[in-house]
Amino acid sequence: MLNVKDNETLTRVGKGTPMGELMRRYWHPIGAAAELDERPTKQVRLMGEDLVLYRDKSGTLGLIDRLCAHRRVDLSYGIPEEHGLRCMYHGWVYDETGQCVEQPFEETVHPDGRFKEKVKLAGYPVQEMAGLVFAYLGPQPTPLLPRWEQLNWDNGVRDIAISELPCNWLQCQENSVDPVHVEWLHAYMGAYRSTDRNALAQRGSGLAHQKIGFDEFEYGIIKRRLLAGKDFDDDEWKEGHPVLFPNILLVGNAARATFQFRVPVDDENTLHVSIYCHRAAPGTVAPRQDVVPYRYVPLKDENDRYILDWTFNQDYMAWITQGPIAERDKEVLGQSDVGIIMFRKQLKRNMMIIQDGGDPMNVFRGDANELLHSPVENVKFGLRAATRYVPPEAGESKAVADIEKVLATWAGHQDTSE
Amino acid sequence: MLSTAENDALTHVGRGTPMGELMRRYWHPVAAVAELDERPTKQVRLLGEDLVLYQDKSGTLGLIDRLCAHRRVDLSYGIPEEHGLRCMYHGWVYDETGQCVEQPFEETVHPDGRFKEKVKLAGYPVEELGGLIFAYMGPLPAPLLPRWEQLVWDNAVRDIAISHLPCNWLQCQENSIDPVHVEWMHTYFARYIDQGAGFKGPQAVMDLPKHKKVGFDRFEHGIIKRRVFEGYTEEDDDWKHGHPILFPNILLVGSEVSVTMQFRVPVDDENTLHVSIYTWHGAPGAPTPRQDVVPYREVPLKDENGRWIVDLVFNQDYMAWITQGPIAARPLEKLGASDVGIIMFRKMLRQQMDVLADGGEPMNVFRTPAPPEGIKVPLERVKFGQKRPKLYIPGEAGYSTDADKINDVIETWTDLEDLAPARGEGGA
Repeated sequence: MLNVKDNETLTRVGKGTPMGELMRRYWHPIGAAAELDERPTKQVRLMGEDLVLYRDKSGTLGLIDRLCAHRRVDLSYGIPEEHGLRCMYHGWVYDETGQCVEQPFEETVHPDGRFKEKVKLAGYPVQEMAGLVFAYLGPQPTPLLPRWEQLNWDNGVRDIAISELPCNWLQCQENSVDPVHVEWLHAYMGAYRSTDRNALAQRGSGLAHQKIGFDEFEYGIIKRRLLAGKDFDDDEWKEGHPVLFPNILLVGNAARATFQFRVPVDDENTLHVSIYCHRAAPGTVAPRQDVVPYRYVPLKDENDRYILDWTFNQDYMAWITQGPIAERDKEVLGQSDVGIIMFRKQLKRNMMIIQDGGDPMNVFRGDANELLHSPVENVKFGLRAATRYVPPEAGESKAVADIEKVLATWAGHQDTSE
Repeated sequence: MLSTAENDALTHVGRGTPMGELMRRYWHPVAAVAELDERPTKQVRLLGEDLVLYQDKSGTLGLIDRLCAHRRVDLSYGIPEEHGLRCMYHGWVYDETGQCVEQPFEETVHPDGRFKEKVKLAGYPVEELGGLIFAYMGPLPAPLLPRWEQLVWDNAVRDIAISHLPCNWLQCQENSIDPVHVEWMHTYFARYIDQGAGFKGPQAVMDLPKHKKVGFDRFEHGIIKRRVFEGYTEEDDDWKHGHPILFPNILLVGSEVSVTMQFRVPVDDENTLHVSIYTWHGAPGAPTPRQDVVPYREVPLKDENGRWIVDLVFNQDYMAWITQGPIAARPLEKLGASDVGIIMFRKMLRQQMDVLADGGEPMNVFRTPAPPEGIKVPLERVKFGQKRPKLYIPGEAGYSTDADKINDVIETWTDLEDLAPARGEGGA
């Protein structure tokens, strides 16, 4: 339980708030690169700021204020030029720093005028990686865009699923330091919703949690669980499972990995970006993937109820129903929630580091951008590597055929460890 | 750039605010006559007041408070009687002044009671002209409904398009004193949209010359705006005749063949009823088709992806105005040489507010009848160096149900050229 003030401190992400400043120290995915192939501008809202992402004809990406400085119309209707984005209303052009670089009529009337030099929108750094576009809204110098190993597997295929969740980012991320919900929300309720009533007892008991544990590590928190019938040598306890500070969950093994980014849109909305990375078995070659496909995940069914047929959608339902900002002053925490308490402390500690002028956890600087290795379990929940694609969330993936080819390269492997 | 207080003063239209009082001195179109043929009541919201427009069985129009005085239910569900509108809940009847004239159960119980005499809703004058219904909400006596000649022409065919815009009226009207946007939004951007709005089509190209110069003059009824395009001179119509904006909230665009009036009617501080009335004028002496009812349509604003429709001229304007926000944040804008007309217009609004505060009558309040042919306003003959195309082209989304009649009227002009359809001149 938190008091109202502590809850606000952990959830408010506007510029100048403690959490807003912490979150501004990180690169956040804001869309799939493929979205800009279809339409070269995209409305983006990130940490309460209304922005437009665009790609100009030279291929340069820009992320600038959404409204034109002149008459304040929406630049997501603007026109990409060779360099920069042109406002459709009076033709002003902005470059990727937000600097106004052309004002056609002003230049006609005052050829020697310097008005445009005084006009500047906010402009933020953006970079592509793994088919995603990442943005950084914090102070300069910009840190490195973290190169998580699995995101950069070169012999593999990827798939992106984006969900627009009407709730604060923190309740999404807290879910990832909460092992026990898997037994109930995903197993027991999942079975309850299936027609196979036998599965109810079976699946619920198969994941019965006996003990949970948490350790801070270099990149965040390792969570551990001891399931009924297992011992401390089991991967779920021994290796544990990484939650990457401040807002990423990494689940996977040597064959595949899913990153879930919980990107704060504003205090009451989250852009949930899942990227699925499938790696081909050693000695085999993955299909060539020129463009990483993406989809927007449907959240509601035809009756306007939350979709619950997929694991991630079960999570989305839980987070959204906690409210736009979960009322942590009314919650009642127990033994299942010690990871959540640890995570909140970790957040507060890193806010303090910023106040003291330091770089918080997972801000990387330097010349060489090395791959970052985070430990993952080899065999999760005792499951062998699947050879069939099972979508974890709603919507049609356009990458199914490629993913299944990659899964097939693992046929004959006992498990997914190398 | 305005201060927040100045921005509020120019945009807030509630009763008692300076702009609300100025706007209450004018007649505003609130519906097409044809709407009441289909259903005899219409919900109207005007200058922040919730009203109901109705036509009773005798043909009288009324515009009264929307909620019944008794139990405050919505009279747009009411029943038109021979005289007045009856509330569907307990049968009370109101006349067009808002006076309650019948209370069936009250009169049964107290045949001599005078309760109904004490019950009165607001009731405002309404008048028909050109297929539109206009309302006046200011102090009495009501001034004359301005009979702009285009609304009076009898050898003409008309068409009405109504849009519900979720933004303040002023950003709509400012657009009309901003000539430069035509070069960009209605040509450069329009081409870009035509070509697929991505990188797949050819380069976006300009097909309207660059603006070299813009100029603005106050005239009897508002502002004349002028422009000189590259390759043209001050002898061309676009500068010499210029182009009228009628104070306070009307744009008039066109030629002797066809004219569009755009009324930007303040619904409340954050909404505008945009009423376009298109008039096609028959050539002198030529017969025009008979039009018993002026058709109307409600203009679609969004596409199937929830984005603003931008492939028609007026809809491009609507997108710009709406994306400026419910009330444009003028304290944050950056005005330049393209915006001197906007600055002049804002000054004119403030001057007229002062006239009102001093007890005078602002511009375009008429007390003496216009001649039978209506109030004449100067217009260009040849706009943007273009002849009129010999074809009906909708200025905004949707299509006129009288397109055939419109084309018949256009046919009466023998000197028109078979040009490829221009993109129209809306919003110009």
